[in-house]
Amino acid sequence: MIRAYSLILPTFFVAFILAVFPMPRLLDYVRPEWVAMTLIFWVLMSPAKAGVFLGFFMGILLDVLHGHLLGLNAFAMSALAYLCILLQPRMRLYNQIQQSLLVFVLVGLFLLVRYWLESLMLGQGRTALLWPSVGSAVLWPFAYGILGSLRHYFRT
Amino acid sequence: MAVILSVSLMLADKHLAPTAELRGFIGYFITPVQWVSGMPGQLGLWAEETAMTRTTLQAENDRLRNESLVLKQKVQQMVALRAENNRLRELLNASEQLDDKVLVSELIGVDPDPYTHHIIVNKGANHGVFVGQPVLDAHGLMGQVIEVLPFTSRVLLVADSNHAIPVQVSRNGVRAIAVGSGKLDELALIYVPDTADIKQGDLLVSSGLGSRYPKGYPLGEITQVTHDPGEPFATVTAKPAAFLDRSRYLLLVFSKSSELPSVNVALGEEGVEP
Repeated sequence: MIRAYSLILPTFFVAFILAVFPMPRLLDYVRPEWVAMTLIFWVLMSPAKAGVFLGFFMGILLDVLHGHLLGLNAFAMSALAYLCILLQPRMRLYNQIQQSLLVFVLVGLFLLVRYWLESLMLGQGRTALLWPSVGSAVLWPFAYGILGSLRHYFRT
Repeated sequence: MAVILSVSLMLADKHLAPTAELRGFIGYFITPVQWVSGMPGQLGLWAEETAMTRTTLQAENDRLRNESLVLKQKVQQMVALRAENNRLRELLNASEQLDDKVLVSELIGVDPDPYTHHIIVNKGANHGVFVGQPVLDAHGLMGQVIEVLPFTSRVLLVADSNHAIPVQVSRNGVRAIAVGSGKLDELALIYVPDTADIKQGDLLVSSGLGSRYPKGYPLGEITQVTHDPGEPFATVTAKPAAFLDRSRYLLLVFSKSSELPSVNVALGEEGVEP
């Protein structure tokens, strides 16, 4: 159990760094949602260990990292984790392209939920919906490959 | 369960104050992320400094020494002028002007969100930084602190479209409000009457109204004034004096007047009575 989290938490740490890593202004518009992608991966691989509550806590950390309203990302990430648990048995059987398409939809929904909450709570949303989802879908095979081989290497 | 928790958390964060402490606690986990993500930039800077030649350093040293000498000479005059100013203010029964203390901080990150202009600096609650604190660079006003974590804090730049600051023209004291345009090199003055005496090249300084920014720091320079008969107000744009996209070292200002505004007012009123 502890061994499993000793891999899950470091991967989230790297995802957080990637989420705020300085990049050229133009690439900022398509910056993938690394944390959401990591969550999708872990829910997909081991739904017993990674679930709604992991999403919730990682969401809170993301809130503080981005300076958002506390609980905004927590809500959206919990919803994302729940959706992934529902889709998990089917999604594991998909090939890379189908998975990428599904990741596009999932990240899009995650951003949409965040956008709704922002406009509900603050009166204005500042989330871009389309391009980050495209970026996430395009980079999903790489993320999947790297995380998958890590998981295989540590056998968790 | 998690949904209820996060909804209540959001409501609490919007309406109650104590979540700042929770935020600070979570900040302990997040600070390493900010440090690591800022590291390549720091490393580049360090390499640049280490690899400098002796002659370059000497030249820079000479330049800085000259600059320091010139500034010292100006300060000498300042002391006399300040004393004289305070004497005159006493004659007018106005409160004495005090020096502002500053804390030097270094920029360690820029918010990745392309629609906002936030930066992260390496001083936080443990160094006494507070929400609403004004931030300067060597050339003018940068913005204000909007979120404080234990070791870092988030600064909203004056160019962010959610930011506004009361200003006045230093030439004649005309007051206005400067809002960010979302572009780093442009501010807009809103609600300026067509008849107001504002010209291209005027210097804008903070007016101190709203008691958030201290009075008299330069904000920017007017770049364009357009009078359109169809519009109710003149369209005025300005260029920020601070190097919003380049400054590495920032000053966090602890102005004494902004910490204790009510006390000063109370003393002033009592002083008049006898």
